[in-house]
Amino acid sequence: MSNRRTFIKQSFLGSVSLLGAAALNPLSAAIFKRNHTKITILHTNDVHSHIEPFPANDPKYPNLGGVARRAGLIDKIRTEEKNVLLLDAGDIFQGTPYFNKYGGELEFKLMSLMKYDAATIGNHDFDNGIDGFYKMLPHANFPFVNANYDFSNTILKNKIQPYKIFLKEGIKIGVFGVGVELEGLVDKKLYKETIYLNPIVKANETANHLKNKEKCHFIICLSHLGYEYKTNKVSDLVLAKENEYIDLIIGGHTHTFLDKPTTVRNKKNKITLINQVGWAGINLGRIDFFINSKNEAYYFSSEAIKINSKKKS
Amino acid sequence: MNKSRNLVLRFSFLIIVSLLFIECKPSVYTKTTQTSIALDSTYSNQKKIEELVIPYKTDLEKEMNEVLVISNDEFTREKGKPETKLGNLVADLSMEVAQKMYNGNIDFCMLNFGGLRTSLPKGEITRGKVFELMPFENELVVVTLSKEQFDTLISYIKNVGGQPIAGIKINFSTTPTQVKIKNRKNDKSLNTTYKVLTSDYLANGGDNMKFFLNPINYEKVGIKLRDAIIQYCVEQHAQGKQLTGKIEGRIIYE
Repeated sequence: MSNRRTFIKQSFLGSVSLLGAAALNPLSAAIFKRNHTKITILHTNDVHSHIEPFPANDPKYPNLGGVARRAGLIDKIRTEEKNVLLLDAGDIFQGTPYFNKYGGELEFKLMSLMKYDAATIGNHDFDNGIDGFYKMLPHANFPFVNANYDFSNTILKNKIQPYKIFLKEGIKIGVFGVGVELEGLVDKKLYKETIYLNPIVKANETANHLKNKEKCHFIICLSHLGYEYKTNKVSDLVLAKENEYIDLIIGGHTHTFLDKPTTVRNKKNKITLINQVGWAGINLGRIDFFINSKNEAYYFSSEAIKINSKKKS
Repeated sequence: MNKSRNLVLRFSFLIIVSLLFIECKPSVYTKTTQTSIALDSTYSNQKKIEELVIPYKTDLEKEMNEVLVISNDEFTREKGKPETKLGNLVADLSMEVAQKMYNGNIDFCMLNFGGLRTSLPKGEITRGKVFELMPFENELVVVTLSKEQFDTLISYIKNVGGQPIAGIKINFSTTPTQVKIKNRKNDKSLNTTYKVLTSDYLANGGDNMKFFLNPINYEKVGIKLRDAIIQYCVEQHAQGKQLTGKIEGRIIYE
């Protein structure tokens, strides 16, 4: 019921406020008789070991971010929403001395405590080498997904799956990952024999499998490709145009602060959304999807929730 | 009476139109908001997180809270500028520290903006802040380049819109581009070589600096970039100096 109410309020926007409640109620009952399921996607990217908030004297982000506050916020949303997925688009490592000193152990433990459902691998997650990443895996109780790095000649063989499927109230959600080209970005001695495969090809292959073989209703791509480039380097905007089945790309790498998701028409002339929430855990991304009885997403609302750790005075 | 009836009709029409919109186009409909949140600590997970962090934090703080130097300027991490105070600071200090350790004359230094990972505030600069600025374990190296490789380096700088440099000034507004290296006379001979101070990450082709990949010579200075920054800060402080920012037209486009 409360879901339904939110939906009415949000979808009619301005026109609702003009209407009297008496006029609205009988109509709303007729329109929204059919069921809908609400799926709440929460997401971060490029947190870069930012465990504590930025200090009060930071020139750009004073008091913003911080894992404890983010955990509190996620907790709060979990008490309000039934179907929450919490996802990260990579570059969990590197950026504060917590990583230099402990190698990512605390980052993974905290994400496990916050009950992250899945994450993908960013270029900086190789910063202590592929061995450094492998060594930290026991601290993560959530899976890493990637479909375009071939790890078969590395220590990560069979440790990384291309995708993971989640079931929420009968809605099948496929989550897969793609990563950025490593050559020229990461030292070869760090990523070793990891082979980078074309992310567009692998994304389409994986999404097609999720849609047509696994019969997923909803497909999310965790991407560390980057939002947009001036050159013709593959980005989320390119992937969005060139794919057929992805409903939502959760991006990273370029530290792009989007206030709202970008809407792109894909190859099937359907909508692929792209969202990214900057970096360092300054914002938590939230997108609520409403899925109709035909299991199609027909409405969404989004928020970029700024994590402000300033104590209430 | 008539007026209010008219209004009801108009509202009904609005509803029907909205309904049609939703029924016919079941794609997506967007509404976005941005919320700023300052939570109190009533959520249990928040407490658990704090408890998990504390032992790590205490251990780390002993080391990282040490104040290395005072800065009388803000050094902001900026994008899209050919020259920044932060870039100049790190390139200059790298030259200074490396030149003392390296046997021979270094022509100039080039780093990359992408590798400077945070802003430095005005006031106390802690060891932890330097770790945030330079979290990577990159080492300083001296790469000897041919004239041809050097020219590629200059056009690379032009194309990417600038990088942190020291000991060199480049003016792209003239044809041909004017390049002045502070520590040497203008040498136009084709056999001339250039000794460039950079990080091993960039020297190995990082940030697409492919001109570094087949150098005439490659020598390690013997210090990590982060340690060079720390050493410089400590020395400045010992001499009673503060960090001061400068912008001096090292790279000019117009």
